[in-house]
Amino acid sequence: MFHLVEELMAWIGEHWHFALPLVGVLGAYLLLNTRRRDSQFAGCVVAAIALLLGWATMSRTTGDRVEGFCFAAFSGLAIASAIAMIVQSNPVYAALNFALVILSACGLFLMQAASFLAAATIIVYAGAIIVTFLFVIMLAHQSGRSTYDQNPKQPVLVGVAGVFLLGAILGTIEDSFPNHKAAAAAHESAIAKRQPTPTLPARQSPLAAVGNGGVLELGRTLFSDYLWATELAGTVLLISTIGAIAIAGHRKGAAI
Amino acid sequence: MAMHALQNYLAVGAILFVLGAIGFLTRRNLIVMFLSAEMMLQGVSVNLVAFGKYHGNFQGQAFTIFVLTVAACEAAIAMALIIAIYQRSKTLDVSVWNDLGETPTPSMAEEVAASEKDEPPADLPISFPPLTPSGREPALPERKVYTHA
Repeated sequence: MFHLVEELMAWIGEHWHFALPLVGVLGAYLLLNTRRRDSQFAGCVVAAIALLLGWATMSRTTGDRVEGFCFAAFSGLAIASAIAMIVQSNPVYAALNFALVILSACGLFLMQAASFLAAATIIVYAGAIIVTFLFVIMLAHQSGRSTYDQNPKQPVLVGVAGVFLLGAILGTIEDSFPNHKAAAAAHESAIAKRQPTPTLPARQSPLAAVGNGGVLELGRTLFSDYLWATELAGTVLLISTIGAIAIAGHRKGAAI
Repeated sequence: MAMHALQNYLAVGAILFVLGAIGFLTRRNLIVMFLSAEMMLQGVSVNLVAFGKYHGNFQGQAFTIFVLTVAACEAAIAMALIIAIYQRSKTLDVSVWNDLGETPTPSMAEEVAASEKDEPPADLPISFPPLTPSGREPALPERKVYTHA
């Protein structure tokens, strides 16, 4: 019996990029059946197993313990709320779960020395987009649970497609980055030795000594290398504002 | 250490992306579909920031800011469209709007019928979008089939 379990764990360790999506998507599929309590319970258990499996496979590679813990906490929360979002039959709770996904992703941004980006994402997503979504949900509120929220379309086909897509991506990632400490150390020293980009101040590594959340360097990158793109982004914002007013500006009863 | 962390961040980004794709394809509520699309963008952002850290420059973060801008624009337009659609059909169900083609796909039509069987829409005034009838299929001249003699 233990031998079997050991073999199974060995197989999962070898083919984790396929086993992990399989278990996770199975959990999401079971959770999608919102009409049956036992199916949802089984889905919760399977999804928790998938999260534990993912933690087990990823914690093999992280060296620092504190960083590993923060990463596990943020990514686990992000993935758990993502699953909760796509299976939630109430759109209000789905929007709140999406806000949780954003907050955890911002935690990941913070761990990657992108604190300005984390703040901007929280302000734009959690502050503006989520509130707009909630506003529209309240505006289009329906009494009771609607039938279309409880009946997902083609969950089996989509689940199979999701397993293959995620398996392919994870397999590619696994193949592209061989897991050798020597290679990692070599890369670190290569980054440290490399000449900095001419647009940035002469430092050892642009991200090594980032003050003020990297706002200075990020702004310099945005307004020198990506000046035209930044101007274009502003134009797109203006045009989309005009478009939104033109589309939604009609009163009830007026001819659309 | 950055090397070790990178593939974990890429994996988390991929998982968020695929979960968003699953949500976009399975859910029928328009608002939840757009939330799922935004979650796919978030997975891409995690990828970009991780690669920016890996290469030690700010290009990934700059790209993420553009993703953020486009996501904000997309949300504004999507909300306007959803409000317009809701004012016309009084429902957020995306299957109501699947008849831009000639006839709805049989499986989808059956599914909608099955889902509305348990709870008949009593006073829900669903007004379908008026579409111009596309008419009969024009008679095409018969094609000549050439065979090797």
